[in-house]
This record gives sequence, structure tokens and C-alpha cells, in this order.
Amino acid sequence: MDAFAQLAVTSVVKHFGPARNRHVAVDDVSLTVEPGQRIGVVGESGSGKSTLARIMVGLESPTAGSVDFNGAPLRSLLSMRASRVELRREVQFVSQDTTSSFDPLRTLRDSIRQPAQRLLGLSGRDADGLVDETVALLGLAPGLADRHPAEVSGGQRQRFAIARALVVRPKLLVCDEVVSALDVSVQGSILNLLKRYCLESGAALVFVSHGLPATAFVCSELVVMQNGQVVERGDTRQVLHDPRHPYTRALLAAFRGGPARSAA
Amino acid sequence: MTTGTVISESARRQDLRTESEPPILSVEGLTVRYDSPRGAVVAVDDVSFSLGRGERVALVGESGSGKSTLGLALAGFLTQPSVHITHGRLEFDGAPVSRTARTRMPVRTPGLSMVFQDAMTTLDPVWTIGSQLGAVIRAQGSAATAPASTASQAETPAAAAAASGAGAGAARSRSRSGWRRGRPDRAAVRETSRYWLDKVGLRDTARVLSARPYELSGGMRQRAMIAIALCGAPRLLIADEPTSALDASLARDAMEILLELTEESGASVLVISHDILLAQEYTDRTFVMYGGRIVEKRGSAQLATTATHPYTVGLLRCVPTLDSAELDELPTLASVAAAGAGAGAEKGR
Repeated sequence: MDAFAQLAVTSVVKHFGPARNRHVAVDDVSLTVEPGQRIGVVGESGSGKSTLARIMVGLESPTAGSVDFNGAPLRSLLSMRASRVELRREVQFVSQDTTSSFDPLRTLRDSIRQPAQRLLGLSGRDADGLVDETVALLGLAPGLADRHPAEVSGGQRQRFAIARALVVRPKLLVCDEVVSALDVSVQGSILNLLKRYCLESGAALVFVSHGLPATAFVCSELVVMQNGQVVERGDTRQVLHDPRHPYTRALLAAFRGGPARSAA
Repeated sequence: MTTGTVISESARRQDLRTESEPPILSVEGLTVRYDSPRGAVVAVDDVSFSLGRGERVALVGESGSGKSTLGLALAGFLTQPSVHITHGRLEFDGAPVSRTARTRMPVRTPGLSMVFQDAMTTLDPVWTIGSQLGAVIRAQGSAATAPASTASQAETPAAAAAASGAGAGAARSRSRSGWRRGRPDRAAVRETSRYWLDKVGLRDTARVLSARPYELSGGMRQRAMIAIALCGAPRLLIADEPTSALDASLARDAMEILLELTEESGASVLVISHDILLAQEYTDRTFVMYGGRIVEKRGSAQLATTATHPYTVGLLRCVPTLDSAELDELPTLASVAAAGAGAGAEKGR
């Protein structure tokens, strides 16, 4: 399989629940991501942005529509071991829920070493070296990696989750609300790191978040979602300064907020 | 209880909100230590403060600063044997906070409610919202006081009826005849439940009452939890990250509901948050916590201009705003501190 060139989401629809009580999470969304693009997906809870992110990496299958990686259907790539390994080396996902995304019985080092060994085919020692390097990149003390997920704070666990994704140096990183639960000082360093990683490696980023300021900092383009649909998309600066859709304007207003907010 | 006495009472409360009345909560020298395999951890280190009646205070700080532990200790939720709490004077509403005889730890205080960040894990997953709300209304038996203070301007006759109905129930349950015989009847509990759900903006009360937590959206769950916390008519509400699981506009809605309703009842609020801007915007005073200590206490409106502790200054500079889009690099505590040190060196020369 070739290196990441394009991920295309075409007319994707996702329904949840039984037919009589159907919830439409994603409603006819098309989106392409290419190397070097940093796309921010913003919108409120329930707008379908997390579901879209999960569909993009194959964690959910769409009810209708297709997801293609370099022109090949994602589903068929995931169905075979060889192509799945290659796909996972190129595309990594970081979830908002770090408690459930780590094996509670293994140390964090074990969890991060696994993709380095399985996806990159490294020996145990080389993988360990890469784990240490990646953990240091995220500003985590090396000793923390030998703890279990429950023994570190939520912020630290979130950084380990990002480390696990970055350890294979992916060409497309999909992040679902990765900084929402973090303190502002930690947020800043993670956002800096993500932006720098993408700029330096030419990797693409899909950054799903309800935090508009953080998203606007990291991403060069914004996609605004409401009720499962994309209501606005464009260059970050254009969306911030010249929003077209009323919903985008309302969202911006919520972040501009009262005088205390804009003064700070 | 007639409407007249209610009005005069609430008016009196307004007047007494000034210096003359003792603070709702005063804390002196509170220290919380956890035993851990790596030795004792001091989570809260000799903290002293007081909260005025009707006052809104934000307790901000980052993960591990001890802010949640402080809230839990005050609410009496820290009862594990691995926790050691020591304190000097600890008074709620003019009376010492009751403690367990054996460990001398604060226990749950009537009149003090708590709202947590994660409604999904706080609410019981197998009970309906109606039964969880009803349980508090029956157990507290004091459901009347909060609605009654608003019954004077009650929007609907039903609400007024609910208030008085529950009031009767409350009076009955105060007689020591036991929970089962003294509780307000089913209809009154249901009416009061509806009243509170309506108050927090859950208009589809029938559906919400019969829904289990997972059947509601995050924002609705949080509102339901606020209703549960407020229906017991607390005099102090401790809200631990009440909005951080919600997105920006829902967070503002929830915060506004919380403050509007506590304003009505005159309850004091302690908001624990890592979002320094949101906290600052909605409160009278802001306490900044760092390493288990309160390092700064300021009026919220003046925080940005009067903060002196380097940690607070750094924190305020780190918050991303929409203008951050123009930056190549976001400021972090480390970079702000380095810049501060650099500027200090310049000045020194």
C-alpha cells in the first residue's frame, strides 16, 4: 500500500438506534483530507463530529456512503491483516476517553510499545527507545510510563494516549477532543506539539473539538457541523472573521462571551 | 407558611447578607493527606477561607492542585480509611461541621449539596431520573423551602401547589415518625420533581422523569443533576467542574441556570473549575489553588489586573482565545515563566 495520499469521505450517513426511533448522527457529509492539511471539525455535542471522526478511521461503519484511503475502500483494507497493519501505521486515532482506551492491567509503556512493535516491526529494545523518545516529546517524566493507567492523572493519561498514536509517526492523525479535559497550561503544550508535528512531518490532522479557540490555533481549515451536517467550511481566518452561517456566528459569539472573556 | 412571611424572610436574608451575619462556611487550617504506596501525599495543605452568604466563589487550579479534594472534604465525601483530614475551625452556617466520632472526619452536612462533572457516573444508571430526584425530595423532606421562596412569584399555580404540597410533606417528615410514614405523597413528590425539572429548563418533564441517565444527552443529564442538587434547598452548593463535560454554549447555559437558581434561593456557591475564564466571569471572588495551597484570593472582576502570584498571571496568559489563531506557538506556563524571568533580569540591570 502506498503512503497516505488522500482520505476521502463521500456522502457519509450514520444512523443510530432502531428504525422507528432513529437518530441521524451524520447526515450526508463529504470531506477529503490530504497530506499537510490541518482540518478542525467544530460544533456542539451531538453535532456528529465525533462519529464522523470514528468513521474516518474505521471504528464505525457508515450506514451509507463510503470512506476511501488512497482510493481503496477503508473497509476492505481493514479486513486483511497486512493492509490493516499498513493502514494503522499511516492513520492513528486518539480518543477523548482515555480511561477506556488503555488496557488497565498493562503498564502504559506496554500499551505504547505494542504499536511500535506490531506496526513498525521493531525489536523490544528499539521499541523501548522509541517509546522513551515519544514520551519525552510530550513532556512526560520517563518513570511515569512504567505505571498503570489508573496511577496517572487524566491529563497525563491523555498525553500518553497521544504518545501511543505518535509513536508510529502517522501521516494522518485524527484527534477527538484530545485537549478538552486538560488544564490550560498542558493544553498549550499539547496543541503546540500537535501543530509542530504536523508542520515538520507534513502529516495531516483532523482535529475534532468543541473548543473553538484551540481548534483555530492548530488548524488551517475549519469545518463547522450542526445536526450531523456541515454548515460551513473554509480557511480558519475566513471562518473566524467572516462567518457565513448563523450557527457559526452564534458559536463564535459564545466564545467571545462577556467582557471578562474578551479582555483576557 | 404564608407568602407574606416568605417575602419578609427573603428580604431579611438579603439585608443580612452584609457583614453582620456569620459566613456560611469558614474553614481554618484544613489539610488533607492521602496514604499512597509511594508515601503520604498532601493534597490540601493548610487551607483557610470563608464564604459569605449568597457569595459565589470560584476555586480554580490545575489537575492535582487539590481543588476537588478540598471540595470533597468539605462535602464529607472523603471517608476512606486512606484519607486523613485535619482542620482547625470548620463551621457551616455558624455550627461546627459534624464529624464521625471515630476518625473525627467531616461527614455529610445537611444544607450542603454537590454537583459533579460527570453526570453519567454520578447518577445511578438503572434508576430513572424521576426516582433519583424523588428520592432526594423525600429524603430531604425540605423540598418546600426552595420553591416556597420563589412561590411568591410562581409562574404557575401548579408550581405554587407543588411548593405548598411538598411543604406539608416536609413538615410531616420532620416528626420523627420515620421516613416511610412521614414522606410526602407520590403526587406531591411528582409535582415537585416536575417543578425542578422545569426550573432547570427540562421542559419535557414527563419524558425526563421516566428516562434513565443514558437516554438523555450530556447537557440534559447535567441539568437533571443540577435539579437533584438544588431540590434539597442547599444553603451552599459545591459544584465540581459542573460544565467541563459540556461544550461552550451548553456550559454557559448550565452555569447560568446554576447561578440564577442559587441567586433565587440565596444559596452560596463554590465553583471548582480549571476554566479560569468561565469561573472568573460568573463569580464574585476567585481563589487560585496551586500545590494544595490557595495562593491567590481576588475579586473575580479584578483578577486579570490585580493578580500578583506568578502562577495566576501565567495561567491567565495561557488560555487560548480566538486570537490565538494568529499565533505560531501558544504560551505555556513554562514559556510565560521564562519570559517573566527574562523581563525580571532586564529590569534588574
